[in-house]
Amino acid sequence: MGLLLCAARASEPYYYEKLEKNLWSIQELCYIMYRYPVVIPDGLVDLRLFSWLKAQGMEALSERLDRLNRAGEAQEKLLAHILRAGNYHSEKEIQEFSALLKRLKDMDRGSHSELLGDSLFSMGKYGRAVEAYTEALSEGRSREKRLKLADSYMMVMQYRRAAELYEELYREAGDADAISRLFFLDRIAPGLIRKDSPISELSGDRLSELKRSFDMALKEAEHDAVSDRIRDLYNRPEEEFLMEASGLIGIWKREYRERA
Amino acid sequence: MSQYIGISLNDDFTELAVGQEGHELSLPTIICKKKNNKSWTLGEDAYKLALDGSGIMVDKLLSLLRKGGTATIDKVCHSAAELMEKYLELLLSEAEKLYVPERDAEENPECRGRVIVLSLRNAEPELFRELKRLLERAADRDDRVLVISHTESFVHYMLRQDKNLYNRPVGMFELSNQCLYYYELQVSRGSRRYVVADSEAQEEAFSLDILKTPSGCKIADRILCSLADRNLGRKSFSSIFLSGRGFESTEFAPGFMQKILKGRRACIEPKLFALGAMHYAAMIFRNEQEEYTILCDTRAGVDVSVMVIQREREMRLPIIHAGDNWANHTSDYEMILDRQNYVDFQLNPLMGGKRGAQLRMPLEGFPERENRTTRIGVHTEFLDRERLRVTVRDLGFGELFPPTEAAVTEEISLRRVMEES
Repeated sequence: MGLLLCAARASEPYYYEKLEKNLWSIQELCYIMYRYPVVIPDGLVDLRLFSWLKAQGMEALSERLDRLNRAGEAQEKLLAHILRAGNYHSEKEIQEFSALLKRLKDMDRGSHSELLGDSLFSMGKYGRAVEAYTEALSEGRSREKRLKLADSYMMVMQYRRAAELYEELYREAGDADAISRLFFLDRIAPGLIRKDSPISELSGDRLSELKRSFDMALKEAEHDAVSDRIRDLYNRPEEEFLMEASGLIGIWKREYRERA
Repeated sequence: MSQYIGISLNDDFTELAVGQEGHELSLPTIICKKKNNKSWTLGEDAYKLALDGSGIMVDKLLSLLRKGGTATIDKVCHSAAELMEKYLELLLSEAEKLYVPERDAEENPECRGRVIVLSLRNAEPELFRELKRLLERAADRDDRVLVISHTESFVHYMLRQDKNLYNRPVGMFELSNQCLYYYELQVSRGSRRYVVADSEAQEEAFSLDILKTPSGCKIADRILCSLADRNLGRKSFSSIFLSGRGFESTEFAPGFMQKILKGRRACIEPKLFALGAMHYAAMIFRNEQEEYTILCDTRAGVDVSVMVIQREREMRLPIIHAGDNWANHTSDYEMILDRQNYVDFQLNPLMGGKRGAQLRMPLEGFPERENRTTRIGVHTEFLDRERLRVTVRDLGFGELFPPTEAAVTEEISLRRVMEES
């Protein structure tokens, strides 16, 4: 606990391709690496990184990494050097990180892809999460992987594909999560679900419970900040409405594209 | 060209001291422009031109600068800054005339330009900044310019004297036209070597014109005697110094002289501040370190630091050290909040017997984010010796967490924090 002292930020960013982000300090690099270890590319420690570190005044670290890299040092050890130089993680965290990287290295491809999908999903990169989960599924069609893939399809509005997976899961094992998502999907995109879909078999308490959940979710959404803002917009004069609406639509477009 | 110059700038008189031998010059703080001519002159020549009507004179340049005033000469309006800059340019030329290369030159290949130290009566931050700026413009590009106070000049002057003159407290009286000050200095040579100095304006300042008559002299003597009683009392001093134009002769004050000479040495040095400034300039020119930590109106009285973490260890990041010059002293640091939404400052006095103090500055209004994803920028600047302004801004965390407008600014009274601790 305290204030972690930092050197000045870089004048030029380091582009972290896997996450499509510009990083402006070694602390941001440490954060990204630690939080999303499965996304760390092979060969991260390269000339481009050395130049960037040098430009920030970290010549000693840059030269050390270069030397160790040429000597064939394992990537997880090189990354540990970067974390230590960042003054961002504790030594305990760094050791845990190194151990995790070793485990990831030994992991089977399917599990690795699933973890990658999880990281991408948590970053809002749903389109790339779809790719990762699809690859994971090629190594085994577990329930978790299919559910995660279906959820990713939902986030990129590929509802039909999502529906197919939810149906498959429910028919196989009566999966409760799958059926509730299917029910919600039917409400969001009516007419999409087939007439012979499992939701038509829902009745009694289960159906009432799902209806209640959906109604509650709808009520919450109706009164969240974005909805209130849109409602307020409609009360504004036309010119103002058009300007604000155009801005909002631009934001939504950008958000949607970033989900890819 | 000379290598180091000391200037004592007052409203009525300016004093110069140059070179190893300390060549001195005193001249009135006036500037005069010849009518219908571009040339300017200063000092006694300026008076002559003004008296014979061939020039227009402007005096009290320091007061004019303080007020941000103007003067219209030959139908052209000149700002106070312009006039002061012109005056300083001419002053530096006068300084060069005093320099005797054969006797004054020193070897220092590392120092390309001159070192010029200007001394003012009081530590006024705005005036310091403005004069530094103007002197830098008047000087050459390679010259290094500093502005200090008369109190600090006094310290530099004393530390160049025989140690016996300051092995106990030193008192100094400064007498000039409408100006009467008392200074005191004490050097501590224990494990922490420091010198404390302070000054105080005396209410009984008088015009030096009264010394033209015997009755005026008597009054002046009585005033100085009561001053001596009040300030010196029964304290033990190694020496008493007298400076200023008023003490160029001490014949008018026999009573006062008798008082100050009782069991003490008395020294007269009318141009003490210029010499002190020059000694400081020489020290900088020679890259010498200060032997003592100086505590006076232009130097910080406490160490101020911020508690930070480096390699999992808590450490004090210095904002300023006691004895550092606070004027124009700013610092900028960046840190990341780790389970903490405040900044802790640590204040430690140099002088023994006093405990340090801690001040907590909460970061109200800062966004709540995931831990260790808020980078803050901490900017500090001194408003004067006692007040430190701290501004903390939210810098976000790159593109991952964009910054907000959140910022907190606080003015810390260092004296109050120490008193309350």
